[in-house]
Amino acid sequence: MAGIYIHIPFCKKKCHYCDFYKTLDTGLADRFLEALKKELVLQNNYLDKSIINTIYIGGGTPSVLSAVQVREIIDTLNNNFSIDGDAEITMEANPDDIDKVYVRDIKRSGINRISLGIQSWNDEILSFLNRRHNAEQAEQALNSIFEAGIDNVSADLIYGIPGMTPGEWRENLLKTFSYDLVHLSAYHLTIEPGTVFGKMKDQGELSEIDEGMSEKQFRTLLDISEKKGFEQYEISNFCREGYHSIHNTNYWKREPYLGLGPSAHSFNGEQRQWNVSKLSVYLRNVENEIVPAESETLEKKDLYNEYIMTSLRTMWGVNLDYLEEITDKESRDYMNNLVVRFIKYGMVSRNQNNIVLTDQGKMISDNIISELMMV
Amino acid sequence: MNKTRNFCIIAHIDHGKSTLADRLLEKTNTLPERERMDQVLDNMDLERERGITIKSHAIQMLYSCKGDEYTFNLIDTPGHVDFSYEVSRSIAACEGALLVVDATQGIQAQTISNLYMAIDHDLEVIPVLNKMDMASAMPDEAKDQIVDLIGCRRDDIIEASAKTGMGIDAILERIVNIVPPPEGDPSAPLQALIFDSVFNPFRGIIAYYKIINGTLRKGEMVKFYNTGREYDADEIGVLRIKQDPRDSLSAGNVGYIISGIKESREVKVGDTITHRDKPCDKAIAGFEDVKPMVFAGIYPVDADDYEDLRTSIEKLQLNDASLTFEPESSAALGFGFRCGFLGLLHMEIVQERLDREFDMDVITTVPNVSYDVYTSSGEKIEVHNPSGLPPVTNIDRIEEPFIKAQVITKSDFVGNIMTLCIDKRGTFKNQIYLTSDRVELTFEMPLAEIVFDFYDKLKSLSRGYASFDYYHSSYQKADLVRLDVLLNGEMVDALSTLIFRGHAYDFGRKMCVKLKELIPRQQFDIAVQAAIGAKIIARETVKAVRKDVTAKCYGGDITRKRKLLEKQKKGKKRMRQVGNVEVPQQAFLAVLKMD
Repeated sequence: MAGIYIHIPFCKKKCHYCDFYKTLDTGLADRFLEALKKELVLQNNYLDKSIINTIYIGGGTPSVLSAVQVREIIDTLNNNFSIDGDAEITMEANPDDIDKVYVRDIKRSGINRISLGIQSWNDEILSFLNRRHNAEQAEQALNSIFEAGIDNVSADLIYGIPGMTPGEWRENLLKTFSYDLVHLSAYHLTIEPGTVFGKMKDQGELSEIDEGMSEKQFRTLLDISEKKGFEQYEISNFCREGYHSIHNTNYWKREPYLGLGPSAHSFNGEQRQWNVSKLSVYLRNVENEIVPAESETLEKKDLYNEYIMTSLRTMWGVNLDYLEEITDKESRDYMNNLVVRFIKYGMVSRNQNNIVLTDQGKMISDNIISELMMV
Repeated sequence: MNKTRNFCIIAHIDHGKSTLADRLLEKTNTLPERERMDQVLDNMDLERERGITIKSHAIQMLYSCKGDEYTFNLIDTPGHVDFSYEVSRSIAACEGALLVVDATQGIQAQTISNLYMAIDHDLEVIPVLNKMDMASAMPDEAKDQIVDLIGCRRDDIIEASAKTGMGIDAILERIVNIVPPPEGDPSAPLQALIFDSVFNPFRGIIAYYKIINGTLRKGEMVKFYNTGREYDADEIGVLRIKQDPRDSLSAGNVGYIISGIKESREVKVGDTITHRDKPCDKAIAGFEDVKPMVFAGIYPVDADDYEDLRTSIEKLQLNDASLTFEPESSAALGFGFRCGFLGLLHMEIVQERLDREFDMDVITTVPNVSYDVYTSSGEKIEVHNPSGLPPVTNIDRIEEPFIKAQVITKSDFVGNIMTLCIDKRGTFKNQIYLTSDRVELTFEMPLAEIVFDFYDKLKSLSRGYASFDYYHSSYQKADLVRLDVLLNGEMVDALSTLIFRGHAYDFGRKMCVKLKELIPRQQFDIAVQAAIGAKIIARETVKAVRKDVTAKCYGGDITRKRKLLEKQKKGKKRMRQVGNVEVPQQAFLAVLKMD
């Protein structure tokens, strides 16, 4: 099993918090699609003929593409890879881009899951984040999706936003759960360098919210999602039973994946590879039949650290047998020794060979993961 | 012997001693053009960078004056308070001294104490006002100070600029005319004063000396009077730019001896070289076995480097006989060494040399002075480490070293400096107006008080217009307590200090505050406490981290995120574990950085 990620690097407007690679130059979309098809051919051996069980079209904003353009992408994929008939095929969408016709058309092309960038139900916050949609458009988008017959729908929400009260966050969650969604990705705002928020932070105009407030909102999230029958299967991801994102889960379970488009990353079990994060360079390379990527072969220590980092964030946690299988006995012992104190602090729990974070541990997961690393 | 002149240069740091020495070497053609490097006398990199001559050396020049050729021996003196004994031995080897004063700055404390030393040894003093080429020179004021100090005539003061070469001829002539030739009997039993030594990786320890009486010949058996050790004088000679071997050297001359000495501690500055078979009756006066006064633990950052650290310190000791060390261990820091230094600057130099010359990553603990502890059974113990203190019930009394401190400053700052010194348990002894606005203050105070933050405070209180010098005076009874630091209830031995009881509460409180700043937050609250015995006198809490979580970790985030978290872990790896608390290295020197 393997996955394919396609990065559509276009946005009509840049959100103040976003640090993914994107450009406002949507005029390059046709040229990009041609290049993307070429890259697909260039890289079609990367996954060693594995069956593809998930495709994810993300960005940027994939919904700036027309339904026809989306169709072309899926068709080219079908021509170059063996795609499982039941594959999960997700597309990210911005609420104000889509209507019932659009959704129906992309569904016909094969899209069977939509991740909708709602972020907030509060118009003031949406404009603070520099989103281009409002709450009403998000509502319409959800209705269009359901009416068009896609029922595997995920919503993105952001919390921990300066100025947002715990009450508002609670309202946001309740409103989201009032729809028949099967999946929720809820992200705590992080202020990243190079973004508008990052600059505001440097100039002292914006700062991360108080830790106590963060903790409170996180607890609200865990509490409400649990009551609504959602399972937290990763730090920021929640779903109804059986609806976890196959695509993202693949990342955390070390399944191979191929990333296409500028800044996309790939992994084949032994090495990681990443495409250049600049559209012009990407185009020039691909048009000259060059794979626009750098790569790194993973050593034991890297394998260990990555596995700890990705798996501890999930409800499946670290499996010591598997850890030993991909590294060695020494690494297993290393983990075994280090983890004891976190168990004592109540931040990690252990069930035979499985090690998972407790709710308390999830709040400081980076801290714990870093401590458990091998350097 | 009549044509020999032995002299040194007394000057404050940066007043131009080294540059002046270079000019003298140039004028006497001692320095071939191709070997000329700025400031030849400072030949350790570190010295050149800091502009301080750390270890003294000597050099011989030949100077022709009115048809006669004179032999000049310039004996360099180290320019810092920590090395005052070495300075005194260099001075004892001379008959004359150039007093070099920066015309833009006037006389500094360091200069005065060395000048007094020179006058005590009956040296002829030649006053030189340097940096006369500078626009900011204040010759009248500086001349007033010099006249006041040494009672010379105004026109005895040579106006010079080592930079432009102004006054250099006048200095050379004055040396011939004023500095008396050395006295001494070439046929008397040998007495040579050792004033310095250096380590040479191929030849062992090379000792520098001045022959007071007698004659030393190559191949003779010699004895070092105070250590009692005997050697074969394999090679002797004079010090030009390179060593210049001779068959014999006699009274009045300055030279070197190579005799297969392996360890720097065998060569004690101030010791007397004599013949084994025909020894002198007594050693040259003034010998002291210099003992380190300041002690600190030095530990490898990486415990695996313990043996490397030992080797490095041993090598350092080869050309730094004043450095002592013995193994010690600390619960917090593991295995390391208790090192003894002459003073704080010496400690800094050792740390820096470990880093630069041996690439050793070390943690240095808070320094303390050497205490004399008298037990109730009447025994005297030297304590170099607060954790080595016997149980309080067994202590009759503790004595600590006191110093005579001299501060020279502008009269505007007298009040501030008085307050500082008295705050530091100083007793005011004397005040002399050197000129209408320059004052020399003398205090008696505990050495322990200048080990902490005295220099920095003095500097900031006087906006840099204070110079400081000290010498050891006596041991005096002290009311000291041991202040311990606890992290989550566990004592951190490396942070214990012996401190004056009256300062303990304030000190403990500040220490907790500082540590709270330096110890990173961990997964749990950390109690930082200061205690005297079982009594907690201060407490701060380092609050637990409550949130540290990345929102997204998808395909494209994995590599970057992994590297970021690995970096965090690397930072932690350099920390020390005390119980369950991770303590960064800089915390172990925290007390030096408190306000």
